[in-house]
Amino acid sequence: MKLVIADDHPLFLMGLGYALRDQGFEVLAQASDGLAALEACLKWQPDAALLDVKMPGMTGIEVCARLKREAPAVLSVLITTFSEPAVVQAARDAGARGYLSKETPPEELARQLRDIMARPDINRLPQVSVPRLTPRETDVLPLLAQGYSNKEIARSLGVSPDTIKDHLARLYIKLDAGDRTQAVSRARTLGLIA
Amino acid sequence: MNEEADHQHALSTQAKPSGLSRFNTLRFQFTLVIFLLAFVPNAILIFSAGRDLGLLGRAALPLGLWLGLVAVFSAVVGWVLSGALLRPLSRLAGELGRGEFHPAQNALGRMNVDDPQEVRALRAAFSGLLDRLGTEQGRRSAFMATLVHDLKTPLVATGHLIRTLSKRPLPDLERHALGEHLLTENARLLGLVQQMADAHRFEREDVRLTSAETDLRALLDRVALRLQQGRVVPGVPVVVSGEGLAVVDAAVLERAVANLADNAARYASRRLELRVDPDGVSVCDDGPGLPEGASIASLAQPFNAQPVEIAGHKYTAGTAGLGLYIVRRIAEAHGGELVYRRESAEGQPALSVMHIQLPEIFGVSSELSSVRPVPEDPGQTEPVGELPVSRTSDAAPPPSLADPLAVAFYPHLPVAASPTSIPPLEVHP
Repeated sequence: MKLVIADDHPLFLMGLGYALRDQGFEVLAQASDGLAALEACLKWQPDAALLDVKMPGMTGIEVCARLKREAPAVLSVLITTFSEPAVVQAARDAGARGYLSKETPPEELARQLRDIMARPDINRLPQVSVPRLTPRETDVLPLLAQGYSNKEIARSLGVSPDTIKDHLARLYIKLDAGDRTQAVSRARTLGLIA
Repeated sequence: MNEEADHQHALSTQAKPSGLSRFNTLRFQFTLVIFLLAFVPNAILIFSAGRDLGLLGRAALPLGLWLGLVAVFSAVVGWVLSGALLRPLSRLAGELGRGEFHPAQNALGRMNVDDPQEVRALRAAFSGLLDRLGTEQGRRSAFMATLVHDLKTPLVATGHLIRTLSKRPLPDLERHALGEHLLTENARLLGLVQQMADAHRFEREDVRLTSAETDLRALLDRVALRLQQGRVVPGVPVVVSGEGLAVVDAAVLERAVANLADNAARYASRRLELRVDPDGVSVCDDGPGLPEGASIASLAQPFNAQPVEIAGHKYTAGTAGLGLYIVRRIAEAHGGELVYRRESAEGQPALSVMHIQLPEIFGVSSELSSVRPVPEDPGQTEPVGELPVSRTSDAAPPPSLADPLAVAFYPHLPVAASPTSIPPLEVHP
């Protein structure tokens, strides 16, 4: 089974390479950034690409999305320390077939990779329920978290305070929140804001 | 969430007073004061007038009724006035309780609400407090992100490599290289932990100095030599210039200069200079410098959270500013400061200059020379002989992997390729 692996941490990349080879995988290429990973996948057409989420240039999720369009036969699997529901949701949307923790022991990692390659259609990503926010709502949330008033948010985004009021009302419903504090707290839990 | 629940509980408890405590409110006290101020003089006047007019017994009933009306009227006026007087305070309490606090001034410096001066001062104080809490929360996030992202990944990697070393028969050369990588990473992690500990300590206490007259040129030579031996990018000459003496803690200042120089070496493309200036020491490189609009004041903060954008959302994925913060504190401990500027000369690429300003320098000279070797004894400061500036890889020690300082200084940039890092794309035929 042929793999391309990508991570911006050189030692992790090296360790992962050794671990996967020990488990019987053939590592065709190792890349330290998203663009190099994408190029390697397009060039070598591996069975799967094991991608870190946070990489310079392109994130692993962006590489997933590109691979889905440009090399659909390559299965994208993310390996990361991020566990925020919003990141998992984005990975699912981008077409990732697996979402693994970096702490996964090599034997388990190999087992899961083989499972994914054997039955790629099964959804193995963690089940998360993240409300889909509109771009405007996504703009409003961080300002809300910074304690801005409706007027200030409106001024900052160049809209009227009534529009902000509408956005907030919809945000409260989506986040199942009763007030601003709850909305910000829930958004933080879901990973919608830092 | 527990803290939030406690907060809500505290608010609800405050909102529902019981027994006599329901009268222990500012509004009740203000009402009482206004009532007494309005009623007591009226009561005295009415009693005096009644006595003077000889109104006693049943004849005094109208006066009594009038007094009762005055009492009710005074109480109502007191209640209404106290409500009006306390409205800004009630509004502030309501905003804080609902988490909808409006700062005293908005981003444009205009007053948000028509509050009296005292309440504005209170708003400003709350605003400052919330800002500090926000900063602390950001630092805590950055600290946790450092633990989760910056430390976890190398620890997992180390586990993989140790398994490989213990289970897999490797050629001697490969085994040796793996061991060196592990040691280098171990040193890097120790450095990161040390930086975190130092930054935490420097937040709470002053840097302790043991100052003595120090040859700054010799200090820079030592840093340059170490740079040359370990961390420089091939092809970038290190130039040391200037002479001068200063009363400093040589070891502490050397550490600050080494921090700056390590980072400059990572981003320099053609030029790296360490120099003694008339008012301090500078580390210059022709790299991209600090991000546009960023300042030393904002970057040289402990546990400065650096968000990374993933799928349209920003996440705290590590800390930045530790190295700069430590340098800044060392400069301040010497009575100086850390200054950043861009220098450009005609026909030359612009230089990023990190300058540690010191209060007094003696015997300043701007003579330019190449790197000189350092004597074996670290206490000895006189340079001996000349060493050509060369970057042969033969002398280079094991590779240094991603340095936390690099991320700490220029978080917006990818770490420059170094002879030690794994190439971006390794293909196994």
